[in-house]
Amino acid sequence: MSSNPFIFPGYLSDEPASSPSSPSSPLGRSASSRPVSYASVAATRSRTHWADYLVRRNNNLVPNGTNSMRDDHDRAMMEHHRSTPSGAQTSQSAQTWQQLPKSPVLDRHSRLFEAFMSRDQLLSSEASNPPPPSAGPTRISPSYLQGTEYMRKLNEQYERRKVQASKERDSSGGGLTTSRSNQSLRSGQMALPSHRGMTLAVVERLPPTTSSMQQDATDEVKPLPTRWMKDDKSPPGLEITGDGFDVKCTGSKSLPEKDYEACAVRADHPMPGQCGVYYFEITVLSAKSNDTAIIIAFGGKDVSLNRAPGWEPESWGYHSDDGNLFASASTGKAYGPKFGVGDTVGCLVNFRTATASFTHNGRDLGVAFRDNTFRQGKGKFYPIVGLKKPGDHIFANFGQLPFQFDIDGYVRAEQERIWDKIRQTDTSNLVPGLSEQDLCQQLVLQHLQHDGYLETAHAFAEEILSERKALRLDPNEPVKDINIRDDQDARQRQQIRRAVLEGNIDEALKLTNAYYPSVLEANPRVYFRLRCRKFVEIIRQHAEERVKEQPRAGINPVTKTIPAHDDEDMDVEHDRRGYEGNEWNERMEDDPPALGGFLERALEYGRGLRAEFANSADPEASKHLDEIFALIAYQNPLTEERVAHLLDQSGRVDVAEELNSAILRSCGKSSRSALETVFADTTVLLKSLREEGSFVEGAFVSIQDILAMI
Amino acid sequence: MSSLSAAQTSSGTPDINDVAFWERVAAHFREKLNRMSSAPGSKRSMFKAQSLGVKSPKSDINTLILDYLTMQGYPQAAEKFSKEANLLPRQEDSTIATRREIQTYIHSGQIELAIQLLNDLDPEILDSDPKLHFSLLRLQLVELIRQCNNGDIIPALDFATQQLGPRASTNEQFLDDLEKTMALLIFPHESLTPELAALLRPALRKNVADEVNKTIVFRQTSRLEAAIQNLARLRSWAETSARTHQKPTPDRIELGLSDDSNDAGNDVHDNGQEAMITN
Repeated sequence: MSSNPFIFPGYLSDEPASSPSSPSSPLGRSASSRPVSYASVAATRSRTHWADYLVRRNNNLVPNGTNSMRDDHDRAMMEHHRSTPSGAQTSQSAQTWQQLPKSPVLDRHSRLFEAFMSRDQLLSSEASNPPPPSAGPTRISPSYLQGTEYMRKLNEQYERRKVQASKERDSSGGGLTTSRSNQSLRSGQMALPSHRGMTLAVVERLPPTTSSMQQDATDEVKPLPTRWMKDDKSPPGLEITGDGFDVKCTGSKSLPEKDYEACAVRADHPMPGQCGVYYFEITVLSAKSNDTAIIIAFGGKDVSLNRAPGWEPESWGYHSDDGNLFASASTGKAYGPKFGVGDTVGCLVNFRTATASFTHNGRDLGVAFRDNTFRQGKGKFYPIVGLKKPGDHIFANFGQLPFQFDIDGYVRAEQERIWDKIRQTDTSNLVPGLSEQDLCQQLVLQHLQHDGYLETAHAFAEEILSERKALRLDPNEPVKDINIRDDQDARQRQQIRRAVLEGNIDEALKLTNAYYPSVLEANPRVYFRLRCRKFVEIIRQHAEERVKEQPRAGINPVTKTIPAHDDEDMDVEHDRRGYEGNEWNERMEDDPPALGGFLERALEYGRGLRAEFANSADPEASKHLDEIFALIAYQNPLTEERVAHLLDQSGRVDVAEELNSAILRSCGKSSRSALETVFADTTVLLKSLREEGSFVEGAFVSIQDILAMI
Repeated sequence: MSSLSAAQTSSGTPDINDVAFWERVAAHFREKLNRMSSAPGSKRSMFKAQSLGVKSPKSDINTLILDYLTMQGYPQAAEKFSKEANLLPRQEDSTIATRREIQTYIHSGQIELAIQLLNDLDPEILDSDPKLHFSLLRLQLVELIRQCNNGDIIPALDFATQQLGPRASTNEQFLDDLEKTMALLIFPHESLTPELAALLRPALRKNVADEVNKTIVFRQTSRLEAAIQNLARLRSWAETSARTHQKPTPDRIELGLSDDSNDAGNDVHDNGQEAMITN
């Protein structure tokens, strides 16, 4: 398929002739393919760059006609992916695809390929500008899953593990200064023995069972297929190249050709049902002889890979030689067109409807299989490709590149279908007797009171009352009053919250102890968090003063992000002593701007903190202490990427809400308003509707959709 | 020692008229009920635990609230809230206030004033939406009929023939609505069929006002309704769906509103403060 410029480098560069190292040596292969995964990261992240690069490189080699065709194609592709999801447009865009001038299929020995073949040049340009280590391993994020809860979870999981991995590297390495080089060294070591490349070395590691995870196993989502992978069942005579996207049939000397009917290979992971719809495409790059068959399929883990997929139990496939479908049987059913070199076919499994369909050059061929085992399969079905003759060569798109078929539109239509159902849902079962309008009004009013937004609550209640009054037919009819609890409790909590939000931790501690004397004792974790925050605020204040002192040093425009009232907060510190055991009870305004004393103060407070919590049974605590103490080491921690988040103001919100919840609990009140409960309950319910093995309706909606509407 | 025996011993022989005693008994059973329903391993407690593990970020919640106050047209509350929660207003106060003013006119049956103000705000809105225009005019007819109950029906008849008749002939639904409304003139209002009686209830005013508000909001923001409404629907849908697909779900998932409505019945609260009653 020569119409997609992005596909070329992946497969052609791994032609044995052009490969710098011998493909037979696994070590050499993984070493050579690792930088290429960087290249493909770059390709996926900035397609334009790639396209430009290729076009520039090919200007001399590719005849003008071909070149401009490519540009047109690329534009059409962009257009295609921008198109909106309605059914009509989907078919329209499918038509567009059909109307595209079909590119002349290049002979695979054509010298025109040479431009794409010399990986060395490509490498040197990419290698000279390697992505920063933080860019990490390749991640596939298919366009059609963007914005779904599944993808969010997967990314979170990935980030967590990356952080974990880097922490492990740091802790096993030396001090802070050597960590960077240490890190790259270690990752290099890790990648070498793995023939999957470093891509998966991090991703596939099981989550460490430290309490920092606090995530139960049910919260994990299954990974996406990312590449083809051989396993113990793989027949000989198959070669996987090009970052794992390419499969080539090489034949096998040890086995006479007639001894096997086909050879097939599975992807590294099964298709996760949690994403609702899974889609992948393959492009036939070459097929040696006319009587070959290329099969796009999916199936279970135990399917024999020595026969054509589709013939074996638990496998379903679309065969290129006759365009027939095979559903775990050796007799086929007429379905779609035959396909061959230059064609792209796709396989779509919809776990909600328990159907599978195929696409041909971007056109949906309709439902191919309908089988409840797809739904009940609990994600045990893998993408499979089968090849028959030596020389057959395919390239797979697992979502690392834009798809030919408008799968984004398909998924959006699915999402819209579910949302239509939701919008028509009657809410009267939630609180019998309360209309949707009244329910929303109650939820808002209750939240305003619960969270202590008293002025708003009063204004809102008044507006509701005047609405009720206007609606009366008889002006003398009495109107039901709304009681706004103007309770002292809400005011006190609001006062404490404000203190924390302003960074005035001592004030918050003092107020808490005055109003709710038992809370801090009963919630040592909250108390610990507050004390730590105090330390962070000391560092923060100091760092800010420094930034202000050198306004022209151009350190960072951090000052802009800090509200003006911020400095005064610390000055509000009064002569009152802080919480007992708090060794930091000097007044903040005494803190000399000369900063000489700052370090001593910070250290002194830190030592006290350490002494107080050293015997804490919680390993989290000492880890957190280490983390914040390290802040002292930085010239300007506000600009240090690795630690700046510790100083962020959002940390105040977390502490404030934790404290607020603890106070509410101590008063025997729900720590959440009804609205927050609705929010959380809905999240839990939706999660259950995303579980594999049933109608995964929840895969198509998320609570974030609602916020995105605003 | 159970809390019930504590209740008995603390006051010696219980006095049947001792309210405090009965309160202690009630508390005992409430506690027992709670323990039963929140026993570890029960579907309910597992669900609750899961739910508590979910973060419901304050910023998201606050966004929902401000969106609601803005979309539904509560200008005072929206203004106060964007101050208290430190959020940027979503619409100018005056825009929200105008919408509220129109709603108030409709709520109180002053349809002519509402139409005037609506035309001032957006001269094209009624022309572009004949259905909305008809709803407003029909409500105006209802209000005229209400005023002339058992009296002079000429103004209502005139209005019907001049304003509604020509429009009704263009659309079957309009015609049907007009016929029903005109029936109000014939039958005594005390003995109307439920369908006709509904026309005279304030709910009709509220519905028309909501429609008008939705239409204005849509023309201003391209959105029809507050996001919180979709949250309520999503919650309801997800619960029904989870039950249909036999996901482990407690028999009842409380919203948490009811506790509060109980509280609201009491004038005295935990801290002994008098509840403040607005107006």
